[in-house]
Amino acid sequence: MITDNIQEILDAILTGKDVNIVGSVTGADILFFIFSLVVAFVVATIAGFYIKRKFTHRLKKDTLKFFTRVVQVIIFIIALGIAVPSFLDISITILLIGIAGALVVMALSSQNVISNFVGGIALHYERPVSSGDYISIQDISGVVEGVKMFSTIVKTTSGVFVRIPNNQVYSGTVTNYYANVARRYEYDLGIRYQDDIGKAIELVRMALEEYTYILKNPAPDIFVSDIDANSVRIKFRVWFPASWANTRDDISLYTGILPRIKLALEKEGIELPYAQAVLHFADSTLKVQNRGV
Amino acid sequence: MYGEYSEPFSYRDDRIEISVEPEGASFLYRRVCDGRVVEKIIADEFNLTINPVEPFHLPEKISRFLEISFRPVILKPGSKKSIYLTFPLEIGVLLGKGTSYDLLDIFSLSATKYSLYGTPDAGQITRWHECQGFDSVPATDNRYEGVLYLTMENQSSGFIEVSRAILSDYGMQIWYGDNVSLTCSMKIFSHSTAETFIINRPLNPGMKSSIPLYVALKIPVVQRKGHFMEHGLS
Repeated sequence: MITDNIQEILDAILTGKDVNIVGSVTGADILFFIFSLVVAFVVATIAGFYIKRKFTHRLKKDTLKFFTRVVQVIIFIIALGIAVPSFLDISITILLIGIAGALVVMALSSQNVISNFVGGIALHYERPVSSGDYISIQDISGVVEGVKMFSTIVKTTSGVFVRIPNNQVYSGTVTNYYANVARRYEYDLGIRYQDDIGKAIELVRMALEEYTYILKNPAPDIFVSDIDANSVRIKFRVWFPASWANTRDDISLYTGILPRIKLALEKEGIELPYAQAVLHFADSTLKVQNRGV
Repeated sequence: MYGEYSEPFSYRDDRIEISVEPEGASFLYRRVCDGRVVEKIIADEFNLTINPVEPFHLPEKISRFLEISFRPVILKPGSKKSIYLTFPLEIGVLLGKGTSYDLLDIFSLSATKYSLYGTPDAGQITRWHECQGFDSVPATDNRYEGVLYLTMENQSSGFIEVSRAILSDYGMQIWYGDNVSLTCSMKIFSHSTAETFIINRPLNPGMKSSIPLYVALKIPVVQRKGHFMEHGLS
């Protein structure tokens, strides 16, 4: 009985007969409704193609994708708004009430989805991060693969893809290392009290000068930062091209610099100090100096 | 060393060895530079071009701007001054002929150093090179350096001190012969702004034009009029 009815409805739709299927809706109405959705789909596709062609050089890839999708969804909603009251015997008032009801239900049941969507729009507007940037958010550091409709995809330095909901990216603390073209790193090491500080600083400067990726300008800052219990601390701050430094983790940046400096200092007789303690005895006839731990 | 080869050959000097020699039905391309060996098999007949290319690709592509730092030159309002500078080179080995090329090898004898022109938030990373600035063509080793002929024109109403030029890689046409050369001009608008242009003209008649690497790598290039320097001239 049910299959007969379905067969009858399908026949009515396929032949476009002027037979009422539901209420006053005829097969022809349903055909027109489907046709209008197909037209909306074609229009949305053409609009997406046009937007991509027109803005591909002006917008970043992920932003372009996001807004293309938003425009396509809007076109589809408008098409539904026109097609439903026109062909399905549903008045615009009922349609609007239906949409409002659906929105309320969606808002209540999918708060996170909506807040992620709104977060996505805000991210594209404010642009604290965008595709290709190296960022840190919460405990995750990596390169942004894309800001999607509801989430931001980050590829960590160990090659793992992490999906972060857009509202967390927008409302959380984000450190963007790629926003500037250069990044500064800070290193420090100690030399013995008896070593020539001026010579050590000059040797460090020369070793840094030879390193390709340390920028000539701004020049490295090299200075004595502290005289502690065992050593004279020399601190140096250097700048790297961000596009280079961001593709490496901090460990490789340290391992690339510090051994080079150590070798340069040791070659000139400047050694890194041992922990040491000087003991003074009351009768002052014996003095023991402990070198090494 | 620079030139076009279609037969097996070999070149050797104190730092570079390049050869293409028959190996069975194929050819073996071999390059040794500072102890580093590169070997590739060329399967068929070949047309090989060795020429100087834009110095932006080694050790990796980080910048597309060349910064030449030189002794300060003071220009009075409305004056024009031409000087000879030097610039670093990379050596490209290209396979192909006519308009179709592919990169076979690239190497350099010049040490690479980068710098920041402008501020970290709004500046540009540059390939940095320092030279004195000369009134006549300086003696250069064309494996390391080329001669940059720079004409500066002070269009401002004040005295301007210039000690650096920033050039973009767009359309950087290098010429080679006895020297390797590049010709540029700089229009100075104020103490902090100027525009540099690369002029497609050899330093001497009879020089050959290099095949730029963006041609070999098939990188589409948007031709621009010039590069705007907005972060100072000294």
